[in-house]
Amino acid sequence: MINIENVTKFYDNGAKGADQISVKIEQGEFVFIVGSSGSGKSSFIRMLLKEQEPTSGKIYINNVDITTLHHKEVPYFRRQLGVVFQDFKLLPNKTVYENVAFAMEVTEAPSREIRRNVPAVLAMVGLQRKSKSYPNQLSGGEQQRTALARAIVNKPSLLIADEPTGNLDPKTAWEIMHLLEDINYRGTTVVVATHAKDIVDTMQKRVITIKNGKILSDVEKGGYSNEG
Amino acid sequence: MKVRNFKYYIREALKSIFKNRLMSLASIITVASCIFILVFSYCIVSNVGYLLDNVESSLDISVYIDNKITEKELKDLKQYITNLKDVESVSYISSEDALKIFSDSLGDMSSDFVAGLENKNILPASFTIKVNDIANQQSVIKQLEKLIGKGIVEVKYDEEVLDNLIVINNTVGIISVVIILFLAMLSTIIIVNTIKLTVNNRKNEINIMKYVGATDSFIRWPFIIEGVLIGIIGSLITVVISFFLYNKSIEFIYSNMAFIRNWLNFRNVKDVFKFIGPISILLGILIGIVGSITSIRKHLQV
Repeated sequence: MINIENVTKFYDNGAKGADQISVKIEQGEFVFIVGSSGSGKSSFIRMLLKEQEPTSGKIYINNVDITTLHHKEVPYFRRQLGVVFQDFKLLPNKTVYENVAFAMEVTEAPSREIRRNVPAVLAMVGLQRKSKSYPNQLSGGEQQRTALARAIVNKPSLLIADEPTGNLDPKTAWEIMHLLEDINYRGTTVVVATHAKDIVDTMQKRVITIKNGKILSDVEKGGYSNEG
Repeated sequence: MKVRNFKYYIREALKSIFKNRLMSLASIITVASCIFILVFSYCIVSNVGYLLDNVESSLDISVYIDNKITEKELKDLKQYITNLKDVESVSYISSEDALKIFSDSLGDMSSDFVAGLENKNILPASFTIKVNDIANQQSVIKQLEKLIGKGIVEVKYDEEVLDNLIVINNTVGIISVVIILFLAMLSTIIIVNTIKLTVNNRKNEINIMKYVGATDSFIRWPFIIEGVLIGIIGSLITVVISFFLYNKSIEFIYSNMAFIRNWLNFRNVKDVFKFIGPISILLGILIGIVGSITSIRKHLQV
């Protein structure tokens, strides 16, 4: 699924985002990436999204080396991913329904398919009644569920969540985590970068801890490393 | 571009215009003002040009002919002048024609006076010569003056008017170039600033589109169509308003300052807008396209 080989990332200012990182993540896994801010966690996620290029090394996703993708191929690569952010990144002037439908319109999916799939994912995240609301009429949890619906509506094989619960209260954070778990049960590989120690400790999933751009630990069914 | 996509692009463009009402209005006003200034200065420049053309065409050179020359010599002379460089036309006015023109110009009080002249017509026959461009008038006059004594008695032209006209002609040329350069600069500054405002509004939108896997052209098209629509609306408003404004101003001037009509003619409103109308709309569309492409280009690089 994901195969990262010897990836190093230097920024222009000399900061090190990644230092000789090598990781393999298999299809269907649920993985937490943990680490304090400035640890290199964000660089890791950004390189997976091809928002940033590694200085050296290779990143294979679904057996394609994304570091060599041409600018024109990037959109097609991103369609295989679902992405969720801390700040939701919803389009403010589109309704919940339109925000989710938009991700399908971009792929030039037939209208019939859009009309069928969007209500289905909205039902799955529990937002069927809010489909006509605008983002500013929603709570944080509802906005993040909208973002989740948008991320999975194209049935991606990989879902990447960058601090998905960072702006949410603990109860809502758990709701989102359970949704992510749900999505993972249906076969999607899920990678979650997070700070939420109690959630990581409780869920007992694979935990990769990053510090100073290096992998500090990689534990099956682990908890939040104290050193991270 | 697929038809279904095209519908989507138009829908998105229209939605965006309505949802960002204030910004759209600002852009429409910007386009409209730029084009208004252009139309306004075109109206002035083209009317000054028109006025000059009118005066220019009344600025004929008169050549008085020796009354002793023969038919054949007259014919040769006309042929010779017609073949001179920069001469547009030569028309012959016999001394009888000259008398008639003279008596017409006198009106009612002419009869007695002209009756006396008819017996012994002292008015000479002449050629009226039109030159293709006012700038060449002097050189034609010089060539004609060489013919004095060879069948021609005198070359007459309005020296002072001619000199003034040449100066005005050149001044208008320079001023219109300056005005148009100034306008181009002004429009660019206004448009660049409006775009800067829109860019920040659009940054998030474009980023999100990229995250969900939109291709560059998919992102670009709705913005381009939005720009085109704003350009069309802005320029259309200007063209319609200035059409009526121009028409009303001329009507007003003619009806309130009737004396002006005798020496000043304005260009017909239809003639003016037949040219500047389509140009304005094309320019509006162009401004819209350039504006939207510049405002999103930077953000497509991610």
